[in-house]
Parts: sequence; C-alpha cells; structure tokens
Amino acid sequence: MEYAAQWNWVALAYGITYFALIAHTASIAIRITRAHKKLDELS
Amino acid sequence: MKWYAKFVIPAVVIIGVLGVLMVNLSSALVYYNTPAEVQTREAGESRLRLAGQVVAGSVIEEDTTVVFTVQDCDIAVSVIHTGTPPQLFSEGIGVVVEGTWNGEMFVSDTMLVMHDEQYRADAGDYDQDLHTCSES
Amino acid sequence: MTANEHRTTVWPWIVMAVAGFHVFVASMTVPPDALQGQLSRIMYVHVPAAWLAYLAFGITMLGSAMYLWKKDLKWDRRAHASAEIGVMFTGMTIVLGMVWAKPTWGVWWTWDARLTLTAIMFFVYLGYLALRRTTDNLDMRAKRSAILGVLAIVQVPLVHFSVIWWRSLHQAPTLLNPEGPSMDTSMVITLLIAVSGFTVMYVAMMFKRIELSRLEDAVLVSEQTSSGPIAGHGITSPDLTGGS
Repeated sequence: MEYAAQWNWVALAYGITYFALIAHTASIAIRITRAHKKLDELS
Repeated sequence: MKWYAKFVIPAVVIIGVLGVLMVNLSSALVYYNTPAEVQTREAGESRLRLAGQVVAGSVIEEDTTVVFTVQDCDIAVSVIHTGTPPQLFSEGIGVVVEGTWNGEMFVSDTMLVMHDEQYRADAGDYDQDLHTCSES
Repeated sequence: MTANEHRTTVWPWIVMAVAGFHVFVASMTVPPDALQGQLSRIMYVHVPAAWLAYLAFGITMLGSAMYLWKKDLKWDRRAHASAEIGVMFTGMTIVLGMVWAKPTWGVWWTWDARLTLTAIMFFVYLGYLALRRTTDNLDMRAKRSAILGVLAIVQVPLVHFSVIWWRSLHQAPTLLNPEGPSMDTSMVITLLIAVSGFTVMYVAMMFKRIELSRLEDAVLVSEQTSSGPIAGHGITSPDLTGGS
C-alpha cells in the first residue's frame, strides 16, 4: 500500500473540513458586521 | 419584480436537479444483483451489476484483464474484468462489477470495491459480511 | 450611536477552535484500519458531518413546528439558522464522501441509494433556503418555510436507513449497528470524540447564526417601517397586522 498517497487523501479531506467550517463561520461574522452597519445607517 | 427573479431562478435550477436525481433513484434502489440472480439471467447485452466476495486463490492477473471468481451465499460466478482494478482490490474483499452476463461468465469493464462497516486495527479481527446473503 | 452598541459574543469562536483542535488530534493519533490504512481517518470527519446534518435538520423541524404552534418568530430564526448550517454539513458530507470513495471504492460518485438520497436532501434544503427569499414579509416567510421545514425531515430517516432498506454500495452504519459497534474500542472512542466535537461546533455556530438572524430581521423591519429608530428593538416581533 502506498502510504504517501493515502496521506494525501487524508490531508485533502481534513483540508476541506476545516476550510468549510472556517469559511462558514467567517461568512456569519462578516454578515453580522454588515447588518450592524446597515442598522446604524437606518437609525 | 425583485423577489420573483430571486426565487424563480434558484427554484428552476433546484427542481431540475431534483428531477435528474429522482430518475436515478429508481435504479439506485437495487444497486446490484447477487451471483444467484445473475445465473438465472438470460445471456445478453443488457448491463447489470454483480456483487460478491472475491474468492481466495481465484485471481489471475494478465496484461489488461483480471479473471476471478466472486461468491455470495455459496454461489460463485466467474468474472473477466478489463481495466485496472481499484487500489483496495484483493482476495477476500467485496466487489461490485458492472457489465454483461454471457451465460457462462460475467464480462466487466467497471469495478468498485465494496467494504463492510467494520473497522479493525488488526487484520486478524476482520470477518467481512456484506449482508447480501439473507436478502435473496 | 447609543442604541446599536455592536455588542457581539466572542466565546463561540474560541469554543469552535478548541473543539476543532481536539477532533484533529484524536483522529490523527488513533490506529489506522487494517484494510483501508490511513484512509480510515476520513471517517472521523465524514461520519460526524453526516450526523450533524441530521441533527441540524432535526432542529429545523423542531423550530418549524414550534413556530407553527407559537407563532413566535424566534422559532423561525432558529429553524433558519439550523437549516443553513445543516446544508453546509450535508455538502461537507458529500464532498468528504467523494474524497473517501475515490481511493476506496474506486469512483468519486455512483448512483447508489445512500448517495442519491443524500444529494436529494441537500437540494431540498437548498430549496428551503431559496423559499425564504420569496417574500420580505416576516410572518409569511416564517409560515411557508415552517411547513417545508416540518415536511422535509422525512428525508433524514430515509437517508440513514437507505443502506439497510435497499441494496447499496455504501456500507451499513458502524456505530448504530443493531449488533453493537463493529469497530475497535479505540476507534469508537475517537469517533465519539469527533461527533461531540462537531456537535459543540454546531452549537457555537448556532449562537452566532441566530444572532445574525436577529440582526437581519431587525434590518428588514427597520427598512419596512422606515421611521423612527428601530435598532436595538429588533428582537421584538414586528407588528405587521394585515400585511401581505
């Protein structure tokens, strides 16, 4: 069994996992900041 | 109308995709046939999938083909597969082969490895069971 | 600049980082599977992602049912927040499944019952999110999506039991196996750590996503009323009597 190749698949999987979690979390944070700004403008 | 465009475009895309998926679902519900079922089939061109465990000692590898026997519920079928088998292909493992039944052999051009839900650190603890036997 | 102080909770970010770190350490130190080798490590993210998708859609169903009962928009916001996170976890499950399938089964994708039904579930909940954009009327939006939020839950048992009910390439459940977990104890413990880590991350994300929903609703309400400062009052249910 080629272990290097196997680790590449594992790295890809964990990369995707943490990227997705961080990206979604960041998108929530950005949208929160934007909503605050919008509320400031409206009030 | 703004909300209209916002909704209709995603709706059309999503319904379209769901339609494609539904069409595929009907064939997905019976993903494979057992060796016993394949043997009762008439020889012909219609494509089907066959699942079973690779019998130990039956694998003969040649340049572009692999000949082996798959077995399930004590019924065995010979397979001639053209192409490179997946990495995990080995004796004793479960496989799904796609192709045609010529009355004597299953002629396959696509092979997928099928493993069960066990995970063991030590190979000796394995007892592969694909749960296909009790069904037929 | 008095009403809207930009108060925002920070602890969910910290909790997420800690949970994420634990999952990583646990799944990298567990012994590999004898058959699959290192590839078996993908299980410790693929399985929790799938479980969290189930949980998230379960919470969406609960929130939707509670909204239909109580007519309180806070339940609608919870349902929405959970659906968005659930869609992310479903997408993650599918992509991780593909990355796992290619080196083990030999293909990225095949039309097996589990895979097909999961893809359908992904697109139905994407439809739920699209449905929410059809109207700016908060009560009407909540009602429409709550009905779908309740109905769509039937897909979760369908996806989960598809591997038992129909012949599939995908293997049967390992942990919730009727005959007990068919896995070494060290792997069971690691998988449980990973599932709880993902659950903690889900809860943390929910806190922030609900905070966002409250703000978004407040923005909508203040745009619609357009008079008087509304910021800071966004938590209260808007009065839209007779509006359509």
